[in-house]
Amino acid sequence: MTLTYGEVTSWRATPLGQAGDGLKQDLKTLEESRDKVETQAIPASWSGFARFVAHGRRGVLVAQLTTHIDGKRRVQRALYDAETQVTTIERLVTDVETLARTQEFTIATDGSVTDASTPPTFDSRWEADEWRTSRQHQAQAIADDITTILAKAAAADATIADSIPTGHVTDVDEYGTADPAVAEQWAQLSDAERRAIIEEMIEELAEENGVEMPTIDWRDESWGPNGQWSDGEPGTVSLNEGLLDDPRILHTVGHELRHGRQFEAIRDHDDWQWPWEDDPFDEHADDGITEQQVEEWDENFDDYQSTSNPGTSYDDYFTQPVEEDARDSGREFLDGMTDDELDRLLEESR
Amino acid sequence: MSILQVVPGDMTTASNAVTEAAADARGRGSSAHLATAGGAITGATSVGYLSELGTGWDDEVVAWADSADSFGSQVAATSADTQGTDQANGGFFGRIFGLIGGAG
Repeated sequence: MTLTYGEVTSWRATPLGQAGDGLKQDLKTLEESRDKVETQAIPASWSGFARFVAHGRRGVLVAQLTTHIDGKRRVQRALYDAETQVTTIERLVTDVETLARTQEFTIATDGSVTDASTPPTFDSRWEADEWRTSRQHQAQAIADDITTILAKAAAADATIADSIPTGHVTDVDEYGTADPAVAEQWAQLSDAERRAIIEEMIEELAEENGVEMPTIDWRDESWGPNGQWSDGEPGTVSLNEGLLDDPRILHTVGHELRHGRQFEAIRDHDDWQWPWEDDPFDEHADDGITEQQVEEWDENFDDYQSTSNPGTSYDDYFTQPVEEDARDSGREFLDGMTDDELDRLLEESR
Repeated sequence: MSILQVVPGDMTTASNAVTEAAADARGRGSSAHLATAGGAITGATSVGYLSELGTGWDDEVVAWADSADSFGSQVAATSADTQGTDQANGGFFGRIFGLIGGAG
């Protein structure tokens, strides 16, 4: 769910800095504890086999706390970065609210701008049109400022999300996070531009994966899933347009196109060819797909666990091999996306 | 058979250092600080992430401190049992290796 203007106006930088300071204090103590164990747990005067075993155990304790410390330090830095970003956001909010008030506009919590002024009396239609045009330009300038604010908020959010160390937050581990620059850029795109980028992505991914360009089916936001691959020749990739404003949709694109690849790999694996002909499975093997994987996927698709079937739990769906593999691809795709790549895709789509 | 040698005073110092390290680490999971951060950015996706991370970190630090405490106790026990054979004490540490689950 994307941020609303109303939510962002409540953001405050100071607590982020305080949280960063708190983590800094915790880090200092944890580093001291780790160093104490590392340097004092095993006295030099202790010899023998038991010392050897204790040495190993000490190593484990030190390594565990070092991993914890490294992750915590990363989040601490992100909180300080976010503090700087939110300081800017607070200032921009103050500026746009002042501008709106001065120019007699109101800004709703959803960021929409309404003219609150009383129109003057005009001597001519031309004057009235001039005034109306001027007011529209002023409203648009305020709306543009709000778009900038929301984009910077998306970047601050992504700065923190991107710092979360692995192994603690399932959503981050399974789906990945958008780079802050990608989040900021995505927030500034129109829906038409987002669709164009996604459709260009699908075309390129299909070609890269040796999959026939699928039909793209944009579903209304009331549709339940984020996305779906329906196999065929060509296949169909369905995407929930309600997710267009969330860069997480980039994971969905990578995820669903991977399902297309899975089906294609199964077909190519089962394909028969003369000894002198090229094996169509070779291109999949070159990309690291094994025959064992393909057999597993084939078996899985024959007994696909869909949550739309009674008795199938979400866990049954989530942990099946084709979904785990597709999630890996989607996560890599989202994690690897850059703002330069988004620019390129938008340019290619034109 | 290898020879076990300990200097009881050194082992006590070592044991105390480890249990002190464990005690100092307790409470440093940082969940409260992460909650403060989450409260500052209403509606952000990372609010939920910070909450989940805070719970995970708190658990991780408790587990580490428990492991370190246990390790410190065994160092002290080794010192107390200087009459035992080296193998017996090595086996003792070896047996507790699997019992000290620790974090991660």
